[in-house]
Amino acid sequence: MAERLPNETEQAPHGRVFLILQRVCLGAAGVGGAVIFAASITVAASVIMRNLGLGGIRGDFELVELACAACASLFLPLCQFNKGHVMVDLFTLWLSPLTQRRMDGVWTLLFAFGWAFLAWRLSVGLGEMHEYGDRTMLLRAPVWWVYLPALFGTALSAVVAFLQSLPMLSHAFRAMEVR
Amino acid sequence: MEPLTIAIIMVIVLLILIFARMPIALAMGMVGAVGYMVLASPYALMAYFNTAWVDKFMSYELAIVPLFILMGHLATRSGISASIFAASNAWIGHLRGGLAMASVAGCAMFGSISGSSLATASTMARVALPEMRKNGYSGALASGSLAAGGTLGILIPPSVVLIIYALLTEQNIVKLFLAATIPGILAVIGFFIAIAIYVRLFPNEGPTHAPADMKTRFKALRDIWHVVAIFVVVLGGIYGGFFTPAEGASVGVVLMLVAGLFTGGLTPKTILDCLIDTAGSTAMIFAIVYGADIFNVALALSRMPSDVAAFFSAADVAPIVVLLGIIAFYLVMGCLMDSLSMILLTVPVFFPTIMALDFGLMPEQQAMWFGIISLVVVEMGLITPPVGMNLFVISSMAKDIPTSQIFRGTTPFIIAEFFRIAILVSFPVLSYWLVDIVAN
Amino acid sequence: AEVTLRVHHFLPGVAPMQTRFFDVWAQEISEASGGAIEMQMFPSMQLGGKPPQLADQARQGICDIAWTLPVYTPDRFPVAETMAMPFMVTNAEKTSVAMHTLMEEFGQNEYKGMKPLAFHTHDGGKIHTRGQIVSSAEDIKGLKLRAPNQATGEMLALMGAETVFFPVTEMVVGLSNGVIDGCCLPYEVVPAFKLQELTKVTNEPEAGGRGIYANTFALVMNERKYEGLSDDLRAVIDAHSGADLSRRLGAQFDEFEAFGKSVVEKQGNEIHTIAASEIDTWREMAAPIYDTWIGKLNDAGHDGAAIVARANALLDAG
Ligand code: NA
Ligand code: NA
Repeated sequence: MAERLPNETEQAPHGRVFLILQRVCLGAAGVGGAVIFAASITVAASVIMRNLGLGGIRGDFELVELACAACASLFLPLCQFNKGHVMVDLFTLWLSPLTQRRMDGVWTLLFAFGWAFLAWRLSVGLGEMHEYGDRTMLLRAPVWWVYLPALFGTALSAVVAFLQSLPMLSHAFRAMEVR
Repeated sequence: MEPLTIAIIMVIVLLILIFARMPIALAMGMVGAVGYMVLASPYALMAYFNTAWVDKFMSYELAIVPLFILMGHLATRSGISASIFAASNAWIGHLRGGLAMASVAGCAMFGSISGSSLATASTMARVALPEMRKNGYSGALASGSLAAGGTLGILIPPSVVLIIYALLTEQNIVKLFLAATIPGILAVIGFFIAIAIYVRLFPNEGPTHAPADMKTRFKALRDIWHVVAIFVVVLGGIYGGFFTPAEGASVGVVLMLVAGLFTGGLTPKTILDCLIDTAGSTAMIFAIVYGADIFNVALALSRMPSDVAAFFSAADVAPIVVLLGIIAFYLVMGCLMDSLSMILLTVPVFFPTIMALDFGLMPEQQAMWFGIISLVVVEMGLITPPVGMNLFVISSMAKDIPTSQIFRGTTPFIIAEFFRIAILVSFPVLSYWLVDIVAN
Repeated sequence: AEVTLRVHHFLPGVAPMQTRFFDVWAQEISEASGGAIEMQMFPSMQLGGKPPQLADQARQGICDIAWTLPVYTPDRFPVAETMAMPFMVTNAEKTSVAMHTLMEEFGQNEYKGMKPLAFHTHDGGKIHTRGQIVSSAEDIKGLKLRAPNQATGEMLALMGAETVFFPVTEMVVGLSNGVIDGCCLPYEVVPAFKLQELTKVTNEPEAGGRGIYANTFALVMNERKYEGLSDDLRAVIDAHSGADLSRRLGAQFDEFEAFGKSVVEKQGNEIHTIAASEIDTWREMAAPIYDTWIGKLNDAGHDGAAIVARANALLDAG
């Protein structure tokens, strides 16, 4: 069911684009992981302080919510890069590997358009939130901050998906194989 | 075109796209977006996407998903999971299907500190899947028992689904948690029986080995003292009034980190690996959550779920027929929809319907009984193909196990769940007896 | 039906707000329009998004009518939020009428792109505890209390409480296992969370004086949808909105409050009255909060002092 290429062997050697994208995706995921990790440490500290009678950390719940939104966005590109979005392969196993690969290429290209559309709308949303000046209730953190990682994550996913889809769609693009 | 027709077309197109290898998140998102555009307007769709991503994920309930997944990765990388399996293997590994049972028991243990099925499935899969495979278990049995075991995350309290049900129906959350305990234990027993029968039918899929001697067994137990300590602190903290279950997720992550550093299993390099591993599984789940969101909103706009619910309410038949009809509806929808959205869309209509019927129970008992039944059938949706979140979680972690194997491995557990639903429907007392004893 | 209006809100479909207000109101409008206007109800945020987005959803046409809380988007609707400061509320009906007047006088530009149908509040919050009786500010010192909104949280913190801002789901578990000692909420929500079973004592301010806090609500409609209605149908909406609807919603919340109180009484919980004179001393302690608020209104281009003074005058006039 996982997205898996039966003919992974026809992969070309890793090019420069591949290496750069991989670094950026890994970096984003690492930052996202660090954010959610930091949030959990903050909550644990808040729990300990509250039980010691020192008072909890104000806005710890909000911090976790902000961290969740940030990490959801920052995790995306790596998942796209690793072809981690699940699908059901059960009903297409009878097709030839090449046909399957072409189908996956079409869906990956659609995925690229989907992420690009989302990135475009999020940029509008970012503008709106910036204009309204909405802030979270306790931490008074501007809500538009959270839109920055969202915009970054969806836009990068669009780029990754687009570059991945081309060699899957046609041999002409084989040279630029991204994983 | 009638909204109901649009809803039916959406469901059919979604199925076709899923069967045609389209990634689930993309299929649900695209069909949902087109449906939304037709049912509302292109302008509304644009406006919806301006904020929907951030709205959805700035959420405390969803934040526990990466936290529990991170906890699982820390446990794996620090070698703690290996010691859990050494212990369960030493004690019950020699039984037929013993390791699969140990995995289910582990899921139940984890489920009693976590309120989410996805987190339980992914954590325990991370821990148990490699061990079962190493011990010669078939991909079908290993993945099936973990997908099913993962549902114990919401079946055994605390449970996100029960919290939502309680809020929708004005029930006491703590009593509902209590009510879910016996049905949760029944699930564990049912899964054990399913495994026992399965390995007798297919002995090659779950090999046994000679029992370990007592010395090995106790040494294995000593090696998991940190797991026991974490478990005691988290459970004791929740039930002793030191923190809430959601805070428990964060506490668990920190304790797991401390234990890993203490045993020397974790280094800065492995911690970084944990963070990156967490990214992969979380993004896959969150992308589907997001796609399901727009799909569910479009279905809500078509009013299909509430129309179907209203149809059952208006039908002039025996109470038990209405209940069975609702269960059947949940089971069918569970193949396609996300569990939480299903509860949100249908309970407001089904609940008053059920409460108006006479099953010979007190209102509070009836409410708890229906809550438990809804929870169980909705939770089954997590392991029924084609859209079953637990199946996806397992599949993304076991890339060498073909889909057909995972479906095959889950079947005995689905059968066990059918038996459990029959038992819970036939004996409502199982769903409120503990509450009557403890609370009243 | 000629026109279908989608109504979106965050409460569950079984809540009295849905069954006793929205369903009845929709029926009245349907009848008054001879069946030309049909209202489709979407409770529990079924159309997606979170409660803070409801106003935007109405403005953008994601729904046609939304029931929303200005406090969820701090500083976006400062005039509408004014009545949500601590120690403003008298009872729901009077405060709702006062809020409607205040919005007509000062808040005309706040709901751009939306047609406000009504403004209202719930009745004042009470302090529900696991056993602690609150007679004076001294009793609040060291209590772990869940605050309902930011300003009330600040006020409780000023009085020495250890405030936490749990989401309601966490609050319910926290009350049952003792992570927190109590919460500050009106009686109206007691049945929804079964608070009567989680707490033993309810401390309520003496009737007739000011209450501890109340959240404010706005019922708003998409402006284009409203302008696009035929004259007849717009007249139907007009006849079922405005000051009368604000008063009606307030009165309805006073009824919900009375029902919630009866549930607490039936449970046999202790109901303890906090003297009005005591509340007056608390209100003096809250002076810095009012000053901050006036500054905030000034920053938004209003005459903050005038708005707060007018709000108090309207409330005192009853
Ligand atoms: Na659980
Ligand atoms: Na399913």
